[in-house]
Amino acid sequence: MPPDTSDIAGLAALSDEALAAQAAREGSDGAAFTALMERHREKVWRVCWRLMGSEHDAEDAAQEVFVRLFFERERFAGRSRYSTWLHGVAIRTCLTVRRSRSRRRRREESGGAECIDQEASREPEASAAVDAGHDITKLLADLDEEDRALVIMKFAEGHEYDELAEMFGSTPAALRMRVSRIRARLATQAG
Amino acid sequence: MSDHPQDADGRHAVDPLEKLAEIEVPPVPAAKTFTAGVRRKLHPRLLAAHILEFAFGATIWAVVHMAAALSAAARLTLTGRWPDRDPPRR
Repeated sequence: MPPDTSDIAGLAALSDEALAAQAAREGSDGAAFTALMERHREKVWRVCWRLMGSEHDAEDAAQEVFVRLFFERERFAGRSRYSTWLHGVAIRTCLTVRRSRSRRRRREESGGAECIDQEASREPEASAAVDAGHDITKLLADLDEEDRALVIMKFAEGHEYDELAEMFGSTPAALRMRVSRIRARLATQAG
Repeated sequence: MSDHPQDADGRHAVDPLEKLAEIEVPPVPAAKTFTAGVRRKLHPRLLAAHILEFAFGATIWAVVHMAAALSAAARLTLTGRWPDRDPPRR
């Protein structure tokens, strides 16, 4: 049943953290969870599109993020901003989806030519971002999934290292070092 | 200290990673279809979680309530005697 609209109007005034606490008290996907979803839909979509590379996959992953967010809604401990924590959930979900798809693709490729044809027909959409004249996206495709996510969150989304540390479960210094290594590697690849 | 690479003259070179921010993100899907998609994925899993929770809770409840009967059955298997239910008479 859709939540009461008067509830949603009242919830709009609450902070992310207060809304998350209320969503955690809800037994189902109630008004607070709906308000959270509405508030963060665009940010999550942006992250998912950047990490997944196609609109279809991004929508699927973004929906999966909110499903996971629902089941993990009681885990938000308030150590960081809610949006930072949510970005961490989004990154982990996208990485999981990408890994499982890549495993499935490998299985299908070894399974027969028909599956390869299906995948090949999806390629143009998947590489839409690559064709937009951004060679950097091609370079990133060779990176490890987590390294790729890290540079995207740093340079495309503009997060600071302390926020990234929360999202990736690391320290700002370690991530700074990692980005510097990735940059050196990309420079070598670019020639 | 700056994160940006420098060229041989010490000037800041254009960082190719900065180009990532220039890639345009397509508009977010319509709220109605997006929310409907989330609920379509969420509800079956929520139902499965509730069924599992109930089944797990019900199993524990049943074991606790049948503990005396189960232990008596185990004793019957081991000793061949069902424990006396009546208290000993004086």
